[in-house]
Amino acid sequence: MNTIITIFHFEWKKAWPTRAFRLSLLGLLAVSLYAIFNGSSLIRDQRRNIDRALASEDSVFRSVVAQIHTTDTASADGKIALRRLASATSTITSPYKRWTSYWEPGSFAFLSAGNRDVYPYYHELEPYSFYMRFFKNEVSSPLRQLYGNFDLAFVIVLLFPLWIIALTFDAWSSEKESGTLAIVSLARSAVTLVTGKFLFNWVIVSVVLNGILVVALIVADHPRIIDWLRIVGSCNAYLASWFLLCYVVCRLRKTSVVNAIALTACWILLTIALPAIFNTVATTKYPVTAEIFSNYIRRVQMPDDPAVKAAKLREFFRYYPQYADTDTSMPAIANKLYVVYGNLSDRSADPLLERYIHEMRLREAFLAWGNFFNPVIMCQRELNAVVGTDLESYIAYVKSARAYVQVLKESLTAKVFADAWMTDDELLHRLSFVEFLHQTRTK
Amino acid sequence: MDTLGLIIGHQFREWKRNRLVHGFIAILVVLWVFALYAGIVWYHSTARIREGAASQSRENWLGQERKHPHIAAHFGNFAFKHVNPLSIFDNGTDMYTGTYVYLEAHRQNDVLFSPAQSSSSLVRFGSFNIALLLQVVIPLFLFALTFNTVLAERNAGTLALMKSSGIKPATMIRGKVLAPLLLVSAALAVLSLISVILLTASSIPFGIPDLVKLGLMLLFHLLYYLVLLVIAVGVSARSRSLKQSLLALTGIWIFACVVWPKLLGNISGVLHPLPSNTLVKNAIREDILNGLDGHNTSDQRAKMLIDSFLKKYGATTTSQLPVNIEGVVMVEGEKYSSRVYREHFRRVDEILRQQQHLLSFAGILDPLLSVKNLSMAICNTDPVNDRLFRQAAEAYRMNFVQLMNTDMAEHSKENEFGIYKVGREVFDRVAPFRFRPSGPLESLSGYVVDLFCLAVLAVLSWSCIYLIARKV
Repeated sequence: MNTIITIFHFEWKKAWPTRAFRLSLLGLLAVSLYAIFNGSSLIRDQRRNIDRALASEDSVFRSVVAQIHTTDTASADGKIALRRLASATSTITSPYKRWTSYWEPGSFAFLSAGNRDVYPYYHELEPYSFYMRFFKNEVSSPLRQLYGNFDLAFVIVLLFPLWIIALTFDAWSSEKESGTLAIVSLARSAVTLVTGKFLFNWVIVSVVLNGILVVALIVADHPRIIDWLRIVGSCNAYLASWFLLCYVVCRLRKTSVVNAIALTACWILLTIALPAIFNTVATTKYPVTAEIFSNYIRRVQMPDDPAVKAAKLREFFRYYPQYADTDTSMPAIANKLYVVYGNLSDRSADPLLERYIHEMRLREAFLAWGNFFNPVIMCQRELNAVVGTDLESYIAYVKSARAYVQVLKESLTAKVFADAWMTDDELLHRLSFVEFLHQTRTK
Repeated sequence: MDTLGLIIGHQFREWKRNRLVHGFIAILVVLWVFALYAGIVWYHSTARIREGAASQSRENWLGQERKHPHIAAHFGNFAFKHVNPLSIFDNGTDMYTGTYVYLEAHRQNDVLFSPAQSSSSLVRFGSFNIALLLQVVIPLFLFALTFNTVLAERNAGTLALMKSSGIKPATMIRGKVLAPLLLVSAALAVLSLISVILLTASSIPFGIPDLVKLGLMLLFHLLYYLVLLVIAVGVSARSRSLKQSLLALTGIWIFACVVWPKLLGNISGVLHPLPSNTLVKNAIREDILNGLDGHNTSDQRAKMLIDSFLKKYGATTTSQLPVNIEGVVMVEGEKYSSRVYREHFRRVDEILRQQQHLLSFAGILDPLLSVKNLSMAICNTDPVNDRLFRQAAEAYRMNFVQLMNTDMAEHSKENEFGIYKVGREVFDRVAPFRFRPSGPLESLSGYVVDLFCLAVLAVLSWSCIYLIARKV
């Protein structure tokens, strides 16, 4: 124990006065704090955009209710306007009355933004047809996306290992090259010395890492301690794996130059080359065909052929026998037919969504398999999974949004087939996405 | 042979014996062939999917049942992004820009489904293509070749020998810079030639303009390598030990290739923030409804148009007009809404340009940024190409929507939405969507700053050789 304390004491006295050590330490602290700030800004912007979309939805429905109350129902034009505002059919098919769904960012999403800036994270949905309006893009900069997010995950996964390499690559070789190894070996074994040095550096790195993670905990909004502990565990284990790698290389007892080249090569291989190679193979081997949705993004149109209309109605009544006794003669059925078409169109596109998700999962599974040995990818995946910015969290959101639209669609369809109009209460107190999620979880 | 030639020749003879160099070249060839092969496979599969989807969309358009032309305009078309053969070399921002767009009456939709949206966040580690080799891997090879180039001469005592035999230090440094540059140029020339042959053999349309673009792309990279080599030789000349030189160059490489571009990309987004989709779409809707000036509502605009037509034809009611006024209102409404969309998208594009300018000017500090921008531009995989695609798609949308609206105005009567129908004879008049990327000069026209920065850095680096020589 005394030996370790002596080595710690000596190493600190040697490291602290060095400009390189202080600069690297301060630099890493600065980029870590910037990464926390930058990640927080991204998530804050996303929350603001979600709030705007929600506010926009609310404002449209409030304006509809206000217009309903001010419409002159004595005139023919007024009656038409009122029908457009308050009938259930116009509510389900209006391109302006939209319900907002959103991918709620987790408390620690700012630590590892993942693909949150690439996936559309909120949607203004039309119950008429999910697929017609679901696919969209947030206004974004492709250049910024190309360079990626400067978040804490980037600092921990890519920059911390470099610091570890810089601190430890010559733990043994520097003593040998400066001729001090022989002197030191008189009192202690070289292994003890190298181990002591590694322990010292490990303590330094751990203090910095965990200090930064404490800052992240303070910054996080309503954090769950269990998530934070998982993050702390993953990051510490990840950096420990780099210490292990450096230790193994140092124990080979090569020169400082060879160690530096070997460890830098490892870093490049694990952080740049192998992930990029596996990404390329995954993209080539597992194509994801988003083009399959094109027929369903297209505006749903009703054919003129009465036989086709009748067939569609029959199909619809199979799913919804409660409406089977509806008057199917024109013009009574005209508006309802749009709702029928929208419903059936979504149903026929659902298997495509499943296929699309399946293709994405296949690609992801391949990447996970290919990188099973790579601590860089393992740590990144784990961080994304804990903070909820991974592919599965996104898929869960997409599926929830689809289910939400189906619930809205079905409740509005009931009103359409009852030839009912929307009440003020129904327009003002709509089923929100959050309420829907809550109900689903409760069920 | 002059002294410079002798130094370069000597360096090549040394490399001939050096197994490390053989290893580097072998790795480079293997990685190049892998990237090329993966690129070719990806090209064929993506082109097949997109061409299939485009012809399906075309069939749907032509095969739609007889209907009112405006309803046909609502049925719409799709524009699929052309798969560019040069994206095999550098796919630039193609991973983050959409691949197809639904074109319909009244609205300009988002270009959907960027390839990155179909992947997990692991996509952010990048894909292994030739651009990555050229911009990240080869610089590392060059640093590895040169980190000890002057130090080794100094340590072996040959530096003093060279000086005493009348070789000027500047000539020696020039030789140390030019030798690896020639090595990498030769390797790239051979690999590019093989690539062109393989691309042609794999039935990928690779024409003369693409060849010119590939040549320019390599030229930009050689200028980039020149800057890096001068830095590397300079560091080697100034360092006291191999360790110091190696650490300094590794630090420079990591900062220039990994940290700085990401940091700047993020700062550009913070300095020039983009509006949200909701804000843009709401503002567009508002402006279409109330007019760009906020005082001319869509109803007022329609009324003014109708009044002008009544006056022009001396009619008292719209039914007396020789055209269907509803169609005329549609034509004018489409023009107006398109103008509104254009104005709002112009503002967004302006912000994106400001972000890009920041990265372009930063190229004076990090040549990687300049070469990356130029490489993307010349391969037509940059944000400008995406913008041009959007503009071409919008021009196509306007054309077919207005063709349908004009048919409605000229051949139908008012309130004939349910009666007047057209078929293939009209739908056929809409040509299939075509988008071809711009030529080499046009592609680079938006990157004058990057060209300037790279050229200035190359000239400055060359001049710095004399400064380095003075310290040797």
